Amino acid sequence: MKQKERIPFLLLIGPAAVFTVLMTALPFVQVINMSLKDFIIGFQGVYIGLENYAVMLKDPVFWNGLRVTFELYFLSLFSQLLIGLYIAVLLHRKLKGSRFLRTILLSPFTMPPVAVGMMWLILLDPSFGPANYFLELIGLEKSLFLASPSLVIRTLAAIDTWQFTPFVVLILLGGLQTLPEEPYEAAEIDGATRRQRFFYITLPLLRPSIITATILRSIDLLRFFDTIYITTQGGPGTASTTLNIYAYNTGFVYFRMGYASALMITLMAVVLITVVFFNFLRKRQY
Amino acid sequence: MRNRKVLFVFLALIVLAMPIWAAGQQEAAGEAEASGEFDWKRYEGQEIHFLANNNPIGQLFQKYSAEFTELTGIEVTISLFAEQQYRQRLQTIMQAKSDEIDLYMSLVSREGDLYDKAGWYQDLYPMLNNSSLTSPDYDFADIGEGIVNASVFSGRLTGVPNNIEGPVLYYRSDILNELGIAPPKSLDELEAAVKKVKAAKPDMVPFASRGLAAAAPYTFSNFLHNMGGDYVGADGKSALSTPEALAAIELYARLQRDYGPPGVINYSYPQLTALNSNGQSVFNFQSSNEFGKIMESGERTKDTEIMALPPGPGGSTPVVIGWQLSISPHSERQELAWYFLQWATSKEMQVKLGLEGLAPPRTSVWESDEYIAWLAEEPVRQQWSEALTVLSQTGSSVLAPQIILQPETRKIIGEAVGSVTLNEATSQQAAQKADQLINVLIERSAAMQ
Repeated sequence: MKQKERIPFLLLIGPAAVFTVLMTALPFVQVINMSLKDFIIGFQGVYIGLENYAVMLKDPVFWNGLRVTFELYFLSLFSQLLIGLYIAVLLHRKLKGSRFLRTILLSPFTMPPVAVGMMWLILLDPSFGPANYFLELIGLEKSLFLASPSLVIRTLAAIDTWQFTPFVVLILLGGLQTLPEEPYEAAEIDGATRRQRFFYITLPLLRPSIITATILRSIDLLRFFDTIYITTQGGPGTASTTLNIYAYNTGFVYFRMGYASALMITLMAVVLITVVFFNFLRKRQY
Repeated sequence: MRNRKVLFVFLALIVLAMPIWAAGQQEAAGEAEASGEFDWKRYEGQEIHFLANNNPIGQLFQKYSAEFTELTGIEVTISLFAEQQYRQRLQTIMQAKSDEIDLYMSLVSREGDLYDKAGWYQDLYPMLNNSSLTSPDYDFADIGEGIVNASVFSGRLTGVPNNIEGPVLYYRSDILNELGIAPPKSLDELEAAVKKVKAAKPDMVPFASRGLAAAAPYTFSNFLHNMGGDYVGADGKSALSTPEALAAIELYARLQRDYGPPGVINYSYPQLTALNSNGQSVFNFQSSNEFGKIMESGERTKDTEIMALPPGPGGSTPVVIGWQLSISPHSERQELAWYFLQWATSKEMQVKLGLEGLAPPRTSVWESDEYIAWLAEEPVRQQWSEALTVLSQTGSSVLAPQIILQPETRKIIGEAVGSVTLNEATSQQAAQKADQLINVLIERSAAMQ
């Protein structure tokens, strides 16, 4: 770069660089710093080294949070990929009315999660909600949905699947539209069935899009917060207390910001490891 | 050439930013200490920011805030958030020592000790005792001494009480009459009554109370007290495993599980109010503050009666608490906030709040002709008022161990009761686990003193 161009270049890049350091790097360092302290909001923090992390390893609520986080993650991710792939393949066929159908199917994804949480909270309310009314109409038993410790994770996964499957559909549909025609033509000549074409051509070629959708949904699902916060606040008991909800309660409700920071750093590490793993899968050549 | 242009843009930005900085300085300089006679219009044209809980109190202040602006010329912005979000907002602001808010609502029985130790309350005595800042009509002594004392920490007035409230038992007297059930005079009779209701009215909810973990101690504590239990024993340790406390947990959980609405474990006041307002519940044990909303349609005034929770083996010790208005120590407009606080807790305003179903802490309001006439209009209002008198005369504000880290203990207590309600644990198992967790917090709180 010429000397003459360097100064304006630095002036233009500088604010963005300063902003990134101030808004991302510094808070991150601060969270690590807080995680090494016994720090209660409003009081002076005391450095305790890695004690918060040691306490975490013996904390049953942490382990429960980790279990709930992964249970919700796997259940939601599996459902979203499966249903998302099915809908994407359907929409890829140029059927009559598919554009209209696409708009309708994609609409939940555009709604804010807080509004979605409120909506489902009302729909699934065991006393007032219409969901139980319809269950009874078709001869099924009433359900507690979000108020049942054994059903709450499945219900939350279903809500998230309802909302974010369209996001997966969008990515996969984009992937499907870029697939080359030649392998299909060759397969047709060789007499491959529709199923064979799907499993031996479509799925392998769609792998990068599936992994992209998996990575993006993984980041969101492991940090799952808004819908739980609105609908159950982690309950009944701790049945839907994910790591994120536990960290939020610890920090913002119980003021123990040091321990909450340690929980958040751990959650961040979990998200990072998952993303790195899927990234590795994406780059790996078969 | 290009360098010069970029330099010029930077300089222009700095020049543009200067008036903004100067305006801020000017505003800060305008907060001179007040002297001379009290004048409601002293701060005319200025603004304050009030952070409030979106409960009937916050909502009513929003409704009447235009009257404050008319009286003082001070514009007030009220930020209403649901209880948990409002607390989170407050913590962020206080931790940042931001001057963004000037006054806020605080539940002193829950967080008083913690906020006080953290230095989040401005001492109001200097402003109260300054005749230039306090209206001669204010009559602070009119607010009950006991209620005021709950807001005083180490000789500092941390806020002015704004209401008194507690859980009261709303019941459908028409249903009880129809079934020949007399209003219960003891907790045993209450259980017997809900049992009869369940058998005779399978479509109705015989009993409803709070189930959501963090909210449940508000109603459960009354059962604990009446069964003769306490949160902390003579040894200073958590006492949920005493026979009295275990009996209270079992009774509360049984009432909720066997006679409560489906999904009661997630119930707090919004769900209880909905159930109460539409007449679905026969006994509904919930906040006296919700009285206005429950009676809004007019339907429940005809068929509902109200009483304090009947006594148990340990007698009767209802729960009574109150929200207070506090001023942020980081506010640069504390005197303006004090004006709002005076207006909000003045006799005139308290009468208005009283007529909306918010029990006032001022003695004179209870004795005012307007308030007495309003109570006399409907028998249920009279019963509500009588129940609140019982609460204020015999009640306790102990809803959890009285320690700095009390908010966390409340959730532990609620979870213990909830796990018994859900049949996930026996009362002994739940209480033992809760005792262990609470004892750790008691020790931590002692170390923070």
